[in-house]
Amino acid sequence: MTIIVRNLKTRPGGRESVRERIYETDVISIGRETGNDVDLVDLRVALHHAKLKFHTDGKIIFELLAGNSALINRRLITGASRKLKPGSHIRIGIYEIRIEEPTAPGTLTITLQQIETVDAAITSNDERVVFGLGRALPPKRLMAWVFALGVIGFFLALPLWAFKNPDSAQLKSLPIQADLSWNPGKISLMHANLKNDCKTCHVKAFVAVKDKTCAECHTGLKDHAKADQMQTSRPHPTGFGAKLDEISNMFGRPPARCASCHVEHNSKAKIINTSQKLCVDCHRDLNKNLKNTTLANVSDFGTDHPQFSPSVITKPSLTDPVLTRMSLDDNPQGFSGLKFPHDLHMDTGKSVAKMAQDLGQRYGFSDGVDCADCHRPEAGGAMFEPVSMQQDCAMCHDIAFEDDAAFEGGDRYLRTLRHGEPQEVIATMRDFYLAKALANIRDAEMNTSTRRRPGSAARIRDLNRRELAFKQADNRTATKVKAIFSKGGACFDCHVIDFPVDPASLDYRVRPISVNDRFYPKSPFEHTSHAVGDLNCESCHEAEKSKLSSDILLPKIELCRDCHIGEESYAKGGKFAQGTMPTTCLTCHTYHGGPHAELMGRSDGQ
Amino acid sequence: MAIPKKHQDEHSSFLAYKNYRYFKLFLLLCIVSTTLYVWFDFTPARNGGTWVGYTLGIIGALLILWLTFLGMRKRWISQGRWSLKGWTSAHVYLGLSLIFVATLHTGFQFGWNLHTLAYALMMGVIISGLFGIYFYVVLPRQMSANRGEMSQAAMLDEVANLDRMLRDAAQPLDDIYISKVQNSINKTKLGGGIFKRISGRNRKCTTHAATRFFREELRRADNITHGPLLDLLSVLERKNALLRQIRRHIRFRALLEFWLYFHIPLTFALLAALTAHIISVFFYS
Repeated sequence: MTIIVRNLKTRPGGRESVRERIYETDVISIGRETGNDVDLVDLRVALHHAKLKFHTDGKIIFELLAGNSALINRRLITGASRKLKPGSHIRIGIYEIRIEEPTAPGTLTITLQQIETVDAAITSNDERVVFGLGRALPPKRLMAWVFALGVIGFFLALPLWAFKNPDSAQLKSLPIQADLSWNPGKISLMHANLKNDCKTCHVKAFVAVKDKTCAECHTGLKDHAKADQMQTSRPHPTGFGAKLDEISNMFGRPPARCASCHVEHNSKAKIINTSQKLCVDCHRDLNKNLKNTTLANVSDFGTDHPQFSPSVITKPSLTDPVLTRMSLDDNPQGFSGLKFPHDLHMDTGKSVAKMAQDLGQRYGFSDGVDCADCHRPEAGGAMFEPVSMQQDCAMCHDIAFEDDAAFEGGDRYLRTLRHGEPQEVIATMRDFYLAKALANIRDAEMNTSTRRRPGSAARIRDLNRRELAFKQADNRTATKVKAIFSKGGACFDCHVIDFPVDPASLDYRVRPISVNDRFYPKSPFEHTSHAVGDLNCESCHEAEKSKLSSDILLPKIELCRDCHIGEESYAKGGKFAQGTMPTTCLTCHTYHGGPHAELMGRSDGQ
Repeated sequence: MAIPKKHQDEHSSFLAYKNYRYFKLFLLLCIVSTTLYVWFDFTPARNGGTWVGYTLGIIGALLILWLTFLGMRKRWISQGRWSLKGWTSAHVYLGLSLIFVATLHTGFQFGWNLHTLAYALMMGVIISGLFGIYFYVVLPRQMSANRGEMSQAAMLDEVANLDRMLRDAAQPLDDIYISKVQNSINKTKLGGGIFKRISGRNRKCTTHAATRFFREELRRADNITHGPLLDLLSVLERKNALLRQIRRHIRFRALLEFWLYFHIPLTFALLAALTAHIISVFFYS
C-alpha cells in the first residue's frame, strides 16, 4: 500500500510548506525516536508511541503502544487500538495527524501538522515577577494607607469623637476608654478616681487646665501668700527667660499655676512635688524682690538656711502666754514660770539619783532619773505628753506640810496638800492649825483631875487660854504658810511666788506657768522617725548640763546637718546619714493651708 | 594621579558625600540636643513638656517631615548641589540624628500610649532604614560580582534557551528519563514568597533534582546511552548554575527592597501618629 505522509509546516511569516514522503508499507510507526516513520519532536511523545496499520480491505487501525495516550477525534485513548476512517484526526503532543479522504485506490494520504508551539516556561517577560517583590508582599502604598488610616482612626478620630459625644451609647459600649491612648503617663494616686474622665480637668479643648478647675474640688486650700506679694517675690526673668514666659502665656500657661508645681501624668514625680527648687526660685533672693520681708533668704537646708528660731515663752500665762521667736544662736532664755534644773535631776551622783534608787522598786526607776521617767511619748510618737505634777513629780515631791506626830496626841497621819490650788493650800493649813488649837482647848477643859475653885478668875483664865490658843493657831498658820511659799518650802522649790504686801493676809500667789510643748508650732517635729542608729535624747538635747529651766534645750541647725543635707548637695553627690531622700523645704514646712502656711506666707510682713 | 574632587564625589559612597558633610551635621544635632537635655534641669522631670522638650519636639517633627519628603524627591533626577546622592546622604544622617533628638524629647518617659507609639514607629522606621543603609553599602558590589554583565532579562532568556537545549538533548533519551527533564523545564520555580527569595535557595528545585539524578545515571550508563546522557547533563549543569546565580540575584534584590516594605508603611503610620500626638498634647493641654 502506498502511504503518503504530508508534513505541513507553517514558516515564519505564515507561508506554508509541504514535504511529502512516500512509504510502500502497511504499517507506519509513530514516535519520538528518529527511526520512526513519523518522528515527533516532543518530549510528551514516547520513543515508540503508536502504529498506524493499513489493511488491504481499507481498514485503518491506530494502535497505541502500552501506556501511551492520544486524542482520537478529541477522545482520550490510552494503550488501546481504534479503527479510523478517512477524516479522523489523532492528536499526539503538539502534533495532529489527519487521515485524508483516499484519492486513488491503494493510496492513502496522512497529514502531519504541528498545531501548537512549545512555550518556554520562563522568559524575559517574567522579569518583574521573578525579580520584583511586587507579587511576594502586599503593596507598600496599600500598607501605608492602611497603617496611617488605622492610626488616625483609632488614636485621633476616636478620642475626638468621644470628646464631642461624651454621652453616646456607642462610646459606653466600647471595651476600652476611647481617649485612653492619649494619657501620657499614669495619673497620680490622689487623682486616680478621675482617670477615666479626662474632661474633669481638661474642660475645654486646647485650653490648659486652669486653677479654678482645681479649686472646684480643692476648696479648703489657702493660698501661699497674698497674690500681689507672690507676684512681687517671683523672679522676673529677662531676655530668653522672659521670652519663654511670654510663649508659655500664649499657650495659656502663666507661671505659678497649680499645675506648675503639681504636674500630673508624670510617672517620675509625685503630684505633691517635694523639690526645693519650686520654693527656692522665690526664696533664694526673697528680700531683693520683696522689700521689708522679715523672712530670711533660704536656698538649701544644708548650706543656706537661717538658724532655727523657736517660739519661746517669755511671759507665762495659763491662758495667753507671750511667745517670742528667738534664734538659737542668741542663746535664748524662755520663761515658763517653773524652776527645774535638768542637771540636778539627771546627775547620777546626787540626791535625786539616790532618791530615785530608793523609790526604784515602787516606781520603776533605774539608777537615777532618765528622760523617759518624765517625758512620755504621745500616741503616734511624734511629740511627748505634757509633764504632770501628779504623774511625774509627786512621787518625790509630795507636798506634805506637817507630820501629825509632832503634835501631842496626834493621829500620826501625814497631811498632804493639794497641788495646783494655792488658796486651798492656805485654807487647808489654816483649818489644820485651828483644829489643833481647838483640840488643845478641849483637852484642857476635860482635864478634871485637879479641883478648881469656881469664880471669875477661873473664867478669865479659860478665856485667855482660848484666845491664846487661836492666836497661836493664827501665828502658826502664818509661819507655816510663809515657810511653804518661801525658799526651802515645797511650793517655792518649783514655782515663782508673789509674796503678799501684808504678810497677815496670807495672800501668797503662785505665778502661772506655761510649759512650751510646741517650739515650732508651724513645723512639727517628728521624734519617731529619728529613732535611728544609736541616737538618743542626749544626742540632740543637752539636758544633763542645763541648770536652768529657762534654757532652750533644742538642737541648732548645725546638729541637724550632721545627718541632713539639702537637695543641692544631694544633687552634687552628697550623702546623708539615713533615709533615701534629701531634706527639702517640705520635709518641715508646707505650702498650702497646713500649720505652716501662715509662717511661709506671712502676708502681714511680720 | 590625583582624582579631581568633582569625580571623587561622584564615586564616593553616599555615606561619605562631600567629605562627610551630613555626618558632621548629624554630630552637631546630637551634641546640641544632648547638651540642651543635660544642661537644663526641669522640675519635676525632663520631658516633652518643658521648653527644651518642645524645642527638641519641633526639631524632630520638622526632621521627620523633611525626611519623608525624600520619598517624593527621589522621583526627580538632578545633579550637583541637590543631587539624589546628596539628599540620600542627608536623609541617612539626619534620620539617624532623630534617635537622639526624639529620644531626648521623650525624657525617657514611655508607656502604653499614643505618644510612645509614635516614638516606637519612628524607631521602627529608623531601624528598617539602618537595614537599608547596610544593604545599600554591602550588596551592590556582591550583586555586580554575581551578575557579571548579564541583565535580568538576559538571565531569563538564557533559562529559556537552556530549556530549549534540554528539550533537544532529551529527544533521543529513553522514556523513563523524560519526566525528569520535563520537570526541570516546566516545574522550575524562580522567585516565590519573601522568605524563599531571601534565602536565595530552593531546596525543591526540580532542575537541581534532575541534575543530581542524571549525574548518577551517567555513572551507570552503558556505551549507548552515555553519549546522549552526557549531552543532557551538560545542559542541566549549565541551567543549574544559572539558576543559582539568578536566585542569588533575587536574594539581593529582595534584600534591597524588603526593608522598604517596613520603612515606607511605617513612615506613613508615623506621620499619622505624629499628627495625632501633636494634636492630642495640645487638645488636652
